[in-house]
Amino acid sequence: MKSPKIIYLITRIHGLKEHLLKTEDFIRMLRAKNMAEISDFLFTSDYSIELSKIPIKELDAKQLESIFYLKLSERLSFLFQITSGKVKEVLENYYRRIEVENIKRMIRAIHGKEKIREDYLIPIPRRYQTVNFLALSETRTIREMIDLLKETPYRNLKDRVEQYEKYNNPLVLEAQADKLYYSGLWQKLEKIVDKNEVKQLIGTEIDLKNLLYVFSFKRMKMEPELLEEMIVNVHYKLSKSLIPKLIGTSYETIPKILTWPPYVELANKTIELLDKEMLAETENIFSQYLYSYAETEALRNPNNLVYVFAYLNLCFREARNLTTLSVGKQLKLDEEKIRSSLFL
Amino acid sequence: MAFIGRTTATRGTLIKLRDTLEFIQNGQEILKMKRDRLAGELNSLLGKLASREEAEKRLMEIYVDFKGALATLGYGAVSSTASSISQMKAEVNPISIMGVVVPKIMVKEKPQINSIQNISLYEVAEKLQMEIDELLDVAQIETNIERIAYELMMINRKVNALEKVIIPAYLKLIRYIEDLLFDEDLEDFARIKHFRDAAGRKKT
Repeated sequence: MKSPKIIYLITRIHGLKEHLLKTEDFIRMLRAKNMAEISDFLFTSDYSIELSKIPIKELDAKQLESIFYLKLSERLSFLFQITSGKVKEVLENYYRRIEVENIKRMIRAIHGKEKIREDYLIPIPRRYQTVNFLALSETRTIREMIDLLKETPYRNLKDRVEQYEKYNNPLVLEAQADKLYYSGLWQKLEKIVDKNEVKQLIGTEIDLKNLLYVFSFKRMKMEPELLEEMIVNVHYKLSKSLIPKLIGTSYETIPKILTWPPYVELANKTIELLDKEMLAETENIFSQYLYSYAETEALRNPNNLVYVFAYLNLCFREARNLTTLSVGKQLKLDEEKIRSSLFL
Repeated sequence: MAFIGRTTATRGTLIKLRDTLEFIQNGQEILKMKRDRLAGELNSLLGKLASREEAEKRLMEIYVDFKGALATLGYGAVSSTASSISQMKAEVNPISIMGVVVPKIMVKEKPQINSIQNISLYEVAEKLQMEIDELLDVAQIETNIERIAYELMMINRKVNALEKVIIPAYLKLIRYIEDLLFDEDLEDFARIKHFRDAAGRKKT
């Protein structure tokens, strides 16, 4: 029997999910002649308040994107207000993926000796930040930045500074940030109700991330050591023993090594797309798989805590779809091309 | 003849003018040779410029791929990824083709794209990186053509000025002085003859 707080949370999420845009909404926006028509459509949605702050003439895809990600950030952080206890802790940990993304963007900018611009970052309300982004944005070197993170959940980034300097590649630190994030989240999942179902969803997400790394890095012909660094050290269906085998083989033989049938199917599709040089689509099928899985889980477990995490995944999907639509319309991409990049 | 200035019609001046004319004619020959050499250079560069069309075609294909990646990832992620890529380092040295100073671009360090995690963006960056040499070559060829064409125009003006104005003026002046000197010689001859005849008559 679930506690009333959990039941309340799940019930609220059922309501909140109704606020998300539906597939038919995306298709309507896809048929829009230009970006202005998309913004007109969005005036009838949750984005209306933010949209109304910007004069129509000044509206562009870049501004729309920041509105979409601001809404995403608000949607995620709103859940902290309607929950408490261990579930709140997990949700706070989950929310940190936005913070991790911002830290990664800062690492890239500092590595490239670029000034950190505000539009590089996804807005996070100050009260939910565990790092001081203002101070971080003023640092000039990676070491300075890592020093500022020593009192935060990202203190262990310092363990990879030497590797970063060895490879002169920020991916090492980005991978470490991901590892810290996912291992922290994985540990927190142990303490919540419906942990098995939630772990299935989060575990699938991590597996897909690792699998995509393997495919991408093999295609990019990056050093195996670097690929090993990138792999998130949380394993679900992609067991720990499989990883060295995957790293050691060519990408064409990956399906033969994988054991979990859905991943084998996904790997076969990936190889097909890679061979056709359809690279953007290759990445999209991994995200598509995750979002479809989340949607299925939500349908299968409407009264389970996994419903909350499935909703969060769908929030991400909405932000990504809207970004694709607005950027695609601004760049005057044809309807078919935009459609192929949408997660419907 | 105004540019030559006032001159005295003496033998010394005539010799000096003939020397100057010879010098100018030599100069004109050298300028013509330089013009021919530069025209040849320009012709060979124009042949190489045909690669621009191919390069532009490839760039357009890359741009289409890039637009696809941008639509999938969004401006935030793409600009952030771009910020991690090191800048290209190049050295521009001046070199001389028949006295025309043109730039020679040498790539010292190509942008490091190994920090790109996203495969579609990586491929776009990789293709662009391969195009850099070609693009720099095209840029160099275009600059060379521009500078050589300008120099050709200047040489043509000089050759024309020498051929149509300066050399005819000198020739005219030399002829004028020669005529004057011939008249003076004739006068002297007639005077001497007259005196000789007068002296002969006195003796008899």
